[in-house]
Amino acid sequence: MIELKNVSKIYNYGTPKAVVALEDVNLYIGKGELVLLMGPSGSGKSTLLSLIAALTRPTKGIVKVENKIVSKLPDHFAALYRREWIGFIFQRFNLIEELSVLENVLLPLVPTPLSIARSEERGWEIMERFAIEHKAHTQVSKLSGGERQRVAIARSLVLDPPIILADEPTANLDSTLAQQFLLLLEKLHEQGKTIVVATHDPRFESLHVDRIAKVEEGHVFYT
Amino acid sequence: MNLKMLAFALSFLRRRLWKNLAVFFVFWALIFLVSSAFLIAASIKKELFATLEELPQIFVQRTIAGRLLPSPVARIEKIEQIEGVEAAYGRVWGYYYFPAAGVNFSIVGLDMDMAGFTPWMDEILASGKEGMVVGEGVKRVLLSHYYKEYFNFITPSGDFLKVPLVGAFPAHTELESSDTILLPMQTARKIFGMPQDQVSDITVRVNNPKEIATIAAKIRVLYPDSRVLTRFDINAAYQNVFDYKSGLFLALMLGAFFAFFILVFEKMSSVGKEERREIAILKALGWRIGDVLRLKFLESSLIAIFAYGLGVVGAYFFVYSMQAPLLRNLFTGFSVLKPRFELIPVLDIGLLLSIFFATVPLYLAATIVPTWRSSVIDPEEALR
Repeated sequence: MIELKNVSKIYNYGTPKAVVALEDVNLYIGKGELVLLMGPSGSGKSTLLSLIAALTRPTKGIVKVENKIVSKLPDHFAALYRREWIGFIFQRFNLIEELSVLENVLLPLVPTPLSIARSEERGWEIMERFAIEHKAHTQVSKLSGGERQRVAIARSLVLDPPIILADEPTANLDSTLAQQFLLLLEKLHEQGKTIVVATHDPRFESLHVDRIAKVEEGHVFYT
Repeated sequence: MNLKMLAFALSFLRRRLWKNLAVFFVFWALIFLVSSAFLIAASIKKELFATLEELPQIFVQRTIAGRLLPSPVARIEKIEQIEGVEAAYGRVWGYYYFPAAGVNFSIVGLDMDMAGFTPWMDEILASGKEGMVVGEGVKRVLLSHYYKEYFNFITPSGDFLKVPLVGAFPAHTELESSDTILLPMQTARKIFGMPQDQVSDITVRVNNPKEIATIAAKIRVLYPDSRVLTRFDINAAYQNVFDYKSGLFLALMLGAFFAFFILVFEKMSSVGKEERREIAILKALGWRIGDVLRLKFLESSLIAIFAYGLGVVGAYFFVYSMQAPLLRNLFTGFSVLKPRFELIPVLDIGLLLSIFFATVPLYLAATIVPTWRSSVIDPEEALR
């Protein structure tokens, strides 16, 4: 389903400040698999997720999703690809602080042809699923870390994407909330979602994962 | 229109309420000031030029070495003999200095047998009252010096000439009549010490208005010492005065424009780090560049169109309901006696469109261009 072929990513390429984030990476992730990308900070895990989500382009190599090259998509189609295929849970949540919970959850639905009523219905459904409906009209900046994470997850799933990418999802959570998140991932995995988690949290190793890939200094190895 | 996008544009505006209110206020103030100035000018021009339409078609004045002198009455008959001239009239007029108030009155002597002025004037003449009819400005000055029923002019021989006050011009004519006194021609002659065989100048009416310029040229040939002015020359002179005043006002407005352009430039040249991050978040969530631009366009349009609409409505209210306190003085200071008059409402679509196109698209571009520049960056780069 997801395939990276000879992928390298060099930031500030061609300048004296060039930084190699990934080098000649080959990786395959099958449909419905739960894959962990484990490695220390700065090893290239987040960059790998960004490449899969077409948030950035590789300096070399190609990224394919469902046999389609997504790494060379023009901006317009890259956005449509993300909308249709990707649910991204960011490490720092990347919520819009001054908007309410409901507004944040609805953000991915705004440019879609879905009606206002249907969009809101979908928003409420997903908020109920993550038990944040009672905070629907609360400004995100007033939420606790755990609540913010639930908003971020709800937002990433509101369009029901087949691929979920999570970047250090437990980094800002206490152990109870982290445990709840792990259970959620298992549930999503059971529903057939393809899940890629970048983490260096050893608690993830207790999950029933399909594969664990080690990311070290820009190289990726399956263990 | 995508109503969800509109709802989100409103939510996004609400987030930075004070900043957006400040931008809205600057925009509103600019539209309000510019619209007010142009509405006052348009209103005054409308009134003035409507009145100028009633002026004689040709004025003939005698000059020697550029100095105005009375014209011999005999010239009236000669001018009437020019083909195409319907009638010629001698006028006795001049300025009378009233030292107690330090102002000049414009005195115009009327041939009381000559009808065909405005209806209100004909009414006063028909009443048979012998005396003077004054503009509102003159009336105010006379009242402030306790002249309620008459005024004592001083003739060139040093005698007093008591002239009863029989009426005042209607308020709507005040712009052009504020400092004017109309009285019988014989009375005017006494005030100016002008002999019976002379007049101050001659006015001419022609049969065919298209021949005004030709007949004016013929009069110049007949009397080379004369200065011949047509209604068009006077129109042009007034036009110059108002264009000059509008120009002065626009020069004063440069400060406001400058502030607006700084605002626009500031917006054009930079998008804050926070805004760049937001654009990246939206793109990461599947928004296309077009979607982001649409959102920003709606946000800016809401500010710009509301500021424009309220600015124009405010200007109409300020100019026509409140009669533009302070601002109108900039345009009406040309008379010695400041006229009080009603600003007549003018709906000039061209003017409103000009103000719209000079400001709103500029502001929209100032928002869209930097948003577009931030939108084309890789979202990952902005989120790192």
